[in-house]
Amino acid sequence: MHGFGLIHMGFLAAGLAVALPIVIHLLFRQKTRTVSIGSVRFLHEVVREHRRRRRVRQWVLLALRMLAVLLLAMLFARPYQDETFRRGFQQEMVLLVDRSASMLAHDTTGQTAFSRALAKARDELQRLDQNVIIHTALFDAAGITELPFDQLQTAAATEAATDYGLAVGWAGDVLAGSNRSLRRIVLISDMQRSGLGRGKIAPLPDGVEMVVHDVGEALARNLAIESAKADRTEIRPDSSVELRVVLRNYGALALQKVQVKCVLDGPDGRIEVSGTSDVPGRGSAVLDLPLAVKSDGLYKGHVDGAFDDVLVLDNRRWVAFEARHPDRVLLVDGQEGRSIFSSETYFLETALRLRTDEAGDSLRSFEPERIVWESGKGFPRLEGFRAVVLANVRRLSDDDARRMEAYLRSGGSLLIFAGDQVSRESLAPLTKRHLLPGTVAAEPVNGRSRVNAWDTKHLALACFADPQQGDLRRVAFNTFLPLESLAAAGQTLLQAEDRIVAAEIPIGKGRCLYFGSSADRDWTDLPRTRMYVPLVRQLLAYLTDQLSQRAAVTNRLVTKPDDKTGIAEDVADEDHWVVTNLDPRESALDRVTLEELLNAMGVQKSKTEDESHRAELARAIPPDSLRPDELWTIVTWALLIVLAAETLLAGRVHA
Amino acid sequence: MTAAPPIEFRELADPKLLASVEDLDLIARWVVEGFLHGLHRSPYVGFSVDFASHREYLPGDDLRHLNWKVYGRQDRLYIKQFDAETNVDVHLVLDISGSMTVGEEAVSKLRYAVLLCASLAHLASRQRDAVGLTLFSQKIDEHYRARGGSDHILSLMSALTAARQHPRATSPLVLHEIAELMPRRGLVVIISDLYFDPAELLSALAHFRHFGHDLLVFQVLAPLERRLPVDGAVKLVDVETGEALETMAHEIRDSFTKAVERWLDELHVGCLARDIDHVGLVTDQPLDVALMDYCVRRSQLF
Repeated sequence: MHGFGLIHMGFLAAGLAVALPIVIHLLFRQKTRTVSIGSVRFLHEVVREHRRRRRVRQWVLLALRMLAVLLLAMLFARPYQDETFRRGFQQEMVLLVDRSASMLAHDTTGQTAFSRALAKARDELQRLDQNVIIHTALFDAAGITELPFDQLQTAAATEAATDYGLAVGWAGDVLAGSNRSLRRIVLISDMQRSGLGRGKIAPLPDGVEMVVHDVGEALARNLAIESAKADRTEIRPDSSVELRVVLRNYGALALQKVQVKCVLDGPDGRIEVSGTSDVPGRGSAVLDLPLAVKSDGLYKGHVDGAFDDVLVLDNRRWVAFEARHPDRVLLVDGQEGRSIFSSETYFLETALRLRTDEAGDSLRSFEPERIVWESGKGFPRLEGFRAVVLANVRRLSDDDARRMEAYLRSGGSLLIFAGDQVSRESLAPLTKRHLLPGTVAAEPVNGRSRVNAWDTKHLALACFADPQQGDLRRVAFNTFLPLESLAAAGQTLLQAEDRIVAAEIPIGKGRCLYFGSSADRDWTDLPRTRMYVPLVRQLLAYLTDQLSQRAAVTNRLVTKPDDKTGIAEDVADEDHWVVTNLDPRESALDRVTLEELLNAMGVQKSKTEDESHRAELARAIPPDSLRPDELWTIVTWALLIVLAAETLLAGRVHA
Repeated sequence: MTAAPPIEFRELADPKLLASVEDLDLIARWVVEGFLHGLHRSPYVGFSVDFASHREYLPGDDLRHLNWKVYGRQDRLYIKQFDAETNVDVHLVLDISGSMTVGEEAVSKLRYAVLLCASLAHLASRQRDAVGLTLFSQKIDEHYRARGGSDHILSLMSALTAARQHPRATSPLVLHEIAELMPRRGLVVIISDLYFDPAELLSALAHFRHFGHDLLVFQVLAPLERRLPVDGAVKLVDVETGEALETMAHEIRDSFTKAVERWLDELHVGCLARDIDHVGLVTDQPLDVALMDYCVRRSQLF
């Protein structure tokens, strides 16, 4: 039987004496005396009834005597019940093994923390009685995987981060439904500090004990590539694309001349670049690697650090980005000021030259080129420009209008800003060719007016549907030249005082957008507000089709147990690539103390540590000493009860 | 010099002591004399008209029966005792079947019954009654008509002590034949263990009553058959059929005793309903119980 043992096993041989009652019975069996009687007529009915009862009593008596002998032998053999066996029926346990990426950190012998955790789990489970209800599970920030113990031994660590709150919360839920008195969570982890800060840890149910086994390495030295990102992916002649690599040293000692190598595959072939950097102890260093990117396209590769540390996984960072030349925008300034700051397109050019990252990974860049409009001189060559902006242009000739129509129909875009030089007459050549979204009013509207409506579903203005992104109702005009009527194909974008301030119309493959106020501060304070830059960039991005372009690359961290770091094409979206990297927090091998961890989980003290200590003490007791778990009292009582029953029954059988 | 204490009749009538003596006639006389001597103050003494014996006067005795001649010679008062007149036929019916041989070696049921039968014969003879005897098992083995005289008594004694077979008796029908042999009404004493079917037995006894006989039934059982006074494993063998049953005697004792008592009660009630005296005897009991019952029944005939 599990859990039971005998101190003096040799005395069990005395159990063979169970045959003694049988031998005594055979040797001294009662001789039958023959007695004559006149008639057996009354005996028939009496004997039949008693014979069966007597036989049962005799067997019971024999069994009692054999049991008494056996118990006597057991008493001398000194049986004991292992504490774990008794506790087995009362105990339910959840065994949590950390499988996060940091568990792949190896020691000097090459053994990883995860393999040590599995060995510890095996030891822990072998100490338990089979009657303990055990739930074994692997955990990381990506989730919990419950699996049988035999499969646990063949499991592998993942590349996900650590989340103690998720694991302990799950274990607490499992044990909350248990009706056993001893409920315990055994956590085997490298005690990574970053596993604590991921979310609120629900307190454990009352009575649930917590045991933590630390399999991590103290003072582990780890250098990680925390990030590698191409900050400037615009291909400009005056600057090169750079890859910014952040190195973080989690060790106490500074590292010098850490070599980093980047390998990228692009449209023009492989690009290899390397660099070195010094990284201070418990600090980070930034290394910018210039990339010889000349052509538009997707560049994929990785950055490797050539250093020897405990965690290899974070020595490589996967990188992918899309490089392209910026969209050329022709700014036609209709009113050159006395200085550059007073020109009509100053604010516009400045806004377009800003290098912002408005939409995450999506590329949105412009290369504005400004010209001053001179009547009669006409437009320069419009090929190569993605958009043309007319800012307060006084007059256009029919030839300008014809060239503009050809430009628009071939896919170009036109943005017209009004101004004091713009009127119905000045725009008549364009109106004549139906290049405007509507009929321009004869006179401008004076007086302060605010935007009161806009098309929240328009691609360019959809981002302003949420006022937190910018409230267009704050845009005010002192003067604006509205559209009196809208063309059949025209679409209203903005309204002020219920007049059409901005509208667009498709022309062939291109489109024309009319904005009824000035691009500078003559008619509006818009350039002074924070709404100006996003508004004009959104309008130009819309006109240059940048809004409809989707980012070719998505960067993400490992969030699922089966996620692997690397670059893979999105199975659901062709020509879209997903770059998966290790959560940089996993590289931080800083360890949390046991007290901190238990306090975070609402456990004041690990009771089982004391019990383990007591169990070890019990095992250290010399074999002949009286053990606390001996069962001699139970055996003695059982023997006394059996003897009493034997005496009682023997009196009835042999009386 | 101190006088030895008088020997009580009960001591002399101990079946074991009687069984140790071979001469049945002597024993029977001894029993009867002792019994009559012990009944000197009994209301039953004096029913006879013939002188039987003397005994010392005791206050309260009838002065008419004083023997004055003896008083004149010995200056001591003796009362004359008289035997009753013979006017009753006493017929003794003794069961000698195999079941009657059961009992301890010295005092079997048959030995006890024979001794009782002989004593009754002597007692009846002393009272001038005609005594008859019938020995039966499955059939009538021997039959003596009721007659008086000492020779007849001796022949009865001889018949009682003669060695013979003891066959099995399964039915009481033979009692009907015996009843037919006694046309003259009298006192019939049946001595048997009565191991018969109760209904058939009572029917047969009723046959005697039909002829006007007074009927006294002595049912003789061994202590084993009455109380099962043995312990442990026993093998009980039916002496007539040879059938054997092994059991623990102490375990079945209570049940067995109750079953026997039910049987005896059934017989007793049946006899009472037919005005038959039913007396149960166990072979370890003194004979005076039976003799007293006989005397009571005999006195009722006057």
